[in-house]
Amino acid sequence: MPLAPENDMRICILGSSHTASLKLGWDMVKGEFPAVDPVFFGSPGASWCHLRAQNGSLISTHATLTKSIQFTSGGLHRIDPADYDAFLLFGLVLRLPRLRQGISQAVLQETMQDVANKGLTLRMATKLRGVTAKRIWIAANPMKLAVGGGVEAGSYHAQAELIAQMQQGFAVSDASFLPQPAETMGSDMRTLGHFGLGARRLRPVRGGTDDTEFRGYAEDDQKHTNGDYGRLWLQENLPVIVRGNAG
Amino acid sequence: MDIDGLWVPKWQVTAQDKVVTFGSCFAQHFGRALLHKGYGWTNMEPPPEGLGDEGAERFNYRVFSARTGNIYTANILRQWCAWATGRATPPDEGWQAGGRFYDPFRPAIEPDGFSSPQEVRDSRELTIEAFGDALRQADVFVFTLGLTESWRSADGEYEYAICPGTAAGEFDPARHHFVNERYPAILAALEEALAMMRQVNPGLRVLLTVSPVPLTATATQDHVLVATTYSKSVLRAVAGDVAANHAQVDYFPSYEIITAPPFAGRFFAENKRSVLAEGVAHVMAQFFAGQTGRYGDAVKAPEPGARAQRATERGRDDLVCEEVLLDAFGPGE
Repeated sequence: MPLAPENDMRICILGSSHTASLKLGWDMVKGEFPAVDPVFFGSPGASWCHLRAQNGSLISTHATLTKSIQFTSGGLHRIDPADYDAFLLFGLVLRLPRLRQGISQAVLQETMQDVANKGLTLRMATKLRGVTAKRIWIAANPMKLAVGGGVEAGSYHAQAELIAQMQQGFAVSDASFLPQPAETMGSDMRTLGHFGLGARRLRPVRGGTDDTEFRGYAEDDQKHTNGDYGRLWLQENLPVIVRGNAG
Repeated sequence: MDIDGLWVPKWQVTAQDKVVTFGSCFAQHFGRALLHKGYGWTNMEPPPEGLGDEGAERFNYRVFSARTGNIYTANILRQWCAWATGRATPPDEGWQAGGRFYDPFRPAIEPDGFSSPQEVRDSRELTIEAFGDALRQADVFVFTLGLTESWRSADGEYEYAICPGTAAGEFDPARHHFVNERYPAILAALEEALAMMRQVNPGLRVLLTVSPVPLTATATQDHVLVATTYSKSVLRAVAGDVAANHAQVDYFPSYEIITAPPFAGRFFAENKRSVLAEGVAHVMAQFFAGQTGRYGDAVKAPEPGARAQRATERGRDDLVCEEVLLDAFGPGE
């Protein structure tokens, strides 16, 4: 495969379906980052269990994952760390909980440890660390979308606090967390409703003929975000990734 | 030995009813059994999202419908009701041990105590809020009476969960008083608690039980056997009278089911105190038999298709994920 032009920073983005919003966002902001060259590898979260290290690269051992990473990366069938300058694990079944203010520090710590230990992201980061010493960045799934457009009452632990607690759990993989942009979240620690896919119509697949067939899923979907979300995420975090590598 | 018809319920508990459980340690079994059987046991203070089962257990989540810890006496129930309905506020008293801080009203709720007095207060506020939600939103409030013996502040304003100085804090005879409650005071406390419940939730039904677990020790001068008999007799009498006074209150005889002579103590463990799992199962079987006997099956066994339905939903989730990727990475419109 052709290597990126000299001085370009090539970022390997491994992620779940949430990667879609980054890709859509990238299409909007790529002009702002001429020296960044992201390569996306997106596949539904659980399918990433079928990634394993082989001869210093990461390869898929399952047809679904193989198909997804080929499709989203533009034909690549393996992840060779030598081809990239940094890695981003994006939304790999890592959900930051909404934790009410008032719970004890001990409960907070144990909860965040459990979140870190049980997720796919830690396994992925450890696997990746096994084949590369390059910088690994992590981003959790977007917080669940607000229901009905409102902001729920109650005060919650801030994202920075949760990330700080969870960062310890990832010490072994020496990976660093990147936050969800503050402007995409309400005070109730939910993603603001207008960043949802909303009524966006999805293309029918698997033999679907009626293009409204999947519309309901998208409207009900409280997980996935749109390109605007991806744009804001990249505008906030790409400079951090670039600076991180420069430093 | 089979003895049927031990309980004829006053009203039906359906699968749709939100049932909350509080009280002495025996009450813990009630919630679990209801949940297992498909009834709507409701937890108003669930463990934080992401906390694993082990942590949830260690931090005493899912024991009762809010993280109150054991509520042994009618007066402590009254106290929680008063806090939750805004009639009173908890005192600013905390217990300390080994540089950690403990809640006098839930001393064992955090295994290693809290990091500061403020943390004690903040955590308790969440529980008071959840207890209030239980009062306001439940259809059935199950309460197991456990003790008559209590420890009070010197001014009598409030009651501690346990004797100060046992788990944490320091016992000070000038500030901490022992009271072995008598029938009229327990009846009054329970009636007051019920009145507060009804005020925020007029339709709430209350199921009273008495814990069959005997006292391990007593602060009275009596032998613990005598103290146990006093305690259980008084609580049983109060529960019976309160149930007789109110159509919305019923009494379920878990005490009798475990301790009655025909069962010859067979439901107690070797220590003659703890109730065996077999005993708990027997108690709950009587509860369900009583309900079914009078009202028929309130809870249907899970539909055979339920699992398939869940699998279909998971499949749909995967489909959504694939769709989202296809939409973003596929060729443009």
